[in-house]
Amino acid sequence: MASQADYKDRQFLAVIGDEDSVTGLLLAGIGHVTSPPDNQKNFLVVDNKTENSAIEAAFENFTTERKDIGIVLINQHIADRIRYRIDTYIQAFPTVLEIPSKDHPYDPEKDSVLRRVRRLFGE
Amino acid sequence: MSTEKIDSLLQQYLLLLNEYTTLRGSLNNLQSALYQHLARANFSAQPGVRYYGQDYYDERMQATSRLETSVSPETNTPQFKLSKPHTVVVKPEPPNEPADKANDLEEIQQQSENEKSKAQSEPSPENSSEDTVDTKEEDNHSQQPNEEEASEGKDDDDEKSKPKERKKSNEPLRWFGILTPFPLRQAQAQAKKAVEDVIPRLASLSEQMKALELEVRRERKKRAKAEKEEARLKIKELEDKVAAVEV
Repeated sequence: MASQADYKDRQFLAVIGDEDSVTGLLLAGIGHVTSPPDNQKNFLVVDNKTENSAIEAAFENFTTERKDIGIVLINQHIADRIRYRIDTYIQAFPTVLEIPSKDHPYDPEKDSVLRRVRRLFGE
Repeated sequence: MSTEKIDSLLQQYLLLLNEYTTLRGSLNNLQSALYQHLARANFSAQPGVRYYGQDYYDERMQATSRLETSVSPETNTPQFKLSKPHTVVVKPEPPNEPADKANDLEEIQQQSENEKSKAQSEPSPENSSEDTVDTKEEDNHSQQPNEEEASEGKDDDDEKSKPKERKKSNEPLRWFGILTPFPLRQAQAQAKKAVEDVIPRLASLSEQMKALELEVRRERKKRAKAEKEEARLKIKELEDKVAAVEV
């Protein structure tokens, strides 16, 4: 299914989230900026002013362009803003995981894994 | 037969789902504790700190915890594990340097010895005894600084050869200053738990469930096909019987 080259270099977690979520996760030591001249960050801080296109571009970058990311964490309320993109995501790597944020508690109805479960049993 | 297989697959699936929901619960608890601690840290922020957030992120941050990704041989699905943070120890001196220093010292000593021997050989027999005494005294004077230099060099060397291993600080707490408030450290502890114990397992579970879903779908299709085939055979049998009766 997945070749070794596909996963062995995937050693980072990426985060798309609000400031508190990103700060919290970076405190755990997962933040990484690649060496110059690229200086690619593995996180994106999203606020009310952030465009949906910027979120989508970051998601695209973490899931498709970069080959060193194993898990993409995204706040659920932000995932909602690019829901069509998350729901049609079928790659084996990286795994996308929705996490709660401070102002938006986790809603199982929206979680993509549990939506898959319902689809499986609803058929 | 295929129904039994589907049932056993679904049973496995439900077990995974159970673990997934349990872990989701603990991730929720950890995250909400994390946000509370962050809010408390911001409430009691040190003077000069506006908000513990992106303004203080280190632009050259390096990940201290990294993922170990592997593919499970049993289920052929990705498995994630977070390797524990390792501290990077930076030695200020490359290993060649002490040897060079020792060589330098030897050179200095050799030089001083050479000078000594030169000084001893220099005084010619024509010189008066007073002169020789003078030159010897001068030599003594000129030697002293050399010895001092040598001894100073030794001291320097001793200081430098002391284990001066500096820990390169990759600690994200340092971005926010040297004295960080206690709630911020509590927030970090919660985040570490979430990132080390819960998130990699949740991701692995999600992938395992995905693989099982595919398998269940495949088996269901197979079953549907088999049922169709069975029904077709039955109809054919009946048609043959009807034909036989009509004849």
